[in-house]
Amino acid sequence: MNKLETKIGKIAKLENPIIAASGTVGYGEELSKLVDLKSFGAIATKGTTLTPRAGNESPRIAETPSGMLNSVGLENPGIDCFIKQKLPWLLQQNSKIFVNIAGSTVDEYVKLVQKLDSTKIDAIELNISCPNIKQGGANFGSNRKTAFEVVSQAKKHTTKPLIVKLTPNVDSISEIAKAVEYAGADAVSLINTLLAMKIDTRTRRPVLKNNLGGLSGPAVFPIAVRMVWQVYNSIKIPIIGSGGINSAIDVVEIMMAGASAVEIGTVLFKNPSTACNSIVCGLNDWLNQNQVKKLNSIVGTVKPW
Amino acid sequence: MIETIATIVEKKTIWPGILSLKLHCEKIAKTAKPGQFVHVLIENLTLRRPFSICEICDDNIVIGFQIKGKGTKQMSAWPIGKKINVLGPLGNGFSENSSNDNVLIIGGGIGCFALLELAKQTPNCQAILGFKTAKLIILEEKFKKHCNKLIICCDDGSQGLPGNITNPLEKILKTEKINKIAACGPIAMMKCAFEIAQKQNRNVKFEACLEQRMACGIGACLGCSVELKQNNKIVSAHVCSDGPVFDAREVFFN
Repeated sequence: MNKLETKIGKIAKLENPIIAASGTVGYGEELSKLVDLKSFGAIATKGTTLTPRAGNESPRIAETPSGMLNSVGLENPGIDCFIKQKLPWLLQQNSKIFVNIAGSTVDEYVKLVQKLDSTKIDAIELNISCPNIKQGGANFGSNRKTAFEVVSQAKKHTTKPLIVKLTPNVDSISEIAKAVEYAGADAVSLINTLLAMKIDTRTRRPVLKNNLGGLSGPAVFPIAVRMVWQVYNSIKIPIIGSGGINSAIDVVEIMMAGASAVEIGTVLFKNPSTACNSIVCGLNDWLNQNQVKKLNSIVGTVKPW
Repeated sequence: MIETIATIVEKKTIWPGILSLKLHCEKIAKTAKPGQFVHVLIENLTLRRPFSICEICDDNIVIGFQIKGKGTKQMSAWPIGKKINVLGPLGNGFSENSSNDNVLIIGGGIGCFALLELAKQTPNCQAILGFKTAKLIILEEKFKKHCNKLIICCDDGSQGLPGNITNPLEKILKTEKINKIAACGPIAMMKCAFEIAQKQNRNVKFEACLEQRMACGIGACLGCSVELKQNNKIVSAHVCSDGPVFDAREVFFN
């Protein structure tokens, strides 16, 4: 019996709850040179848009205490190129594929899900939370009405399970989560990066050319745990937790807060070939040590004071 | 490309704040090429640090660095014998040189670290290395050993030719048949060198080794983008996977 088997609502069963986070592994090809992609429960591909995007100017990366900023700005070759040139290889890897998409209008999201509907991917991750592009992205995810509108329209035009990735840069993430659940989302994933800034005090310039970027890494983990817990108490659909997960015990913690699965990202920059396997081994050890039979039995079991 | 454990077998302080480490890592040394880099894991920091491979000696590689921030500061305290996690070799190096090539190497400051192995593997080469001052000159003896001719320049005139690399560069390009140039150093230096080279001989092949802040090092995160001119179009490339060595004709030096 696989103690780590994970089910996210209607979405295909995963061998383990570890998903490679969108934006950290491209379309999988580079990482596959270092690690078998099947080690992951699923791969969430780079945020892809209707037409190709060049992304933001460099520098796009800055290190911060226990974390990092990025302002890549959704550089991608566009959905048609993805489907034609990247997806066939990815589908041969026998791992579950979640395709992350981002649009700047509702119509673009609709066209994106339509294009993916006839492919063999396992789910669509609707990115309504990218902090790094001026139009769209987080604009949809920071307002209940627009979040509802984009998810319900996307849902109407696809038979694929829909995961909606939420931004933490809002007053109440639970309110947004409720709106997207009501709109028909099959699951939510949270959190995307937190809007942040780093200044080079020598030059008095922001390190990132975009001035602002998204913070990820262990620094954001407690915020992710808090938000997963708040959202878990507000909706019934499954949650994929993410934000600075670094170890098996982090996975246990965020699952106790209410996540059914997790995404790991920044840690893959540190240990691309070993991060996933060491978390998987650590989870098995934790289950044995704590005499827990199935990992999914711990979801949402935190006992708040 | 492999993520592996390397052992520090030698540590040299070249000048205060400028060090080199020799790392025993057979798997990387076996396949590494001049101009490629390794991505070094540093405890308690979120991101690895990229370093050009300075030398390949049997089962070892040498990296060199200047203490600039948290990462290099921590590395400077690493003792001989310490085991570290290294990812590499990464990126595309300089093109290979045959005995028919007459190669000119242009290095500036710590950029010279990225060029030594190229000099070692190039049958006919000469080098112009520029530094701010005599007390920042690195790898002089090693380049001397592997180059037919070595010119050292110091901005402050404290050793070698006074000023930057432009005068000796113009002279060499006028008097000798150079068909390939390889450069690594400050962007302003490479820009200037490329402009001079273009003026003298438009057909000379010019390869420039660039750097950029990066995260994954393998072309997955797209963090280290650089704009290139290709077929009259501006395209986005990535220093880690498309470079770090680029055809200078495609690079915007700014």
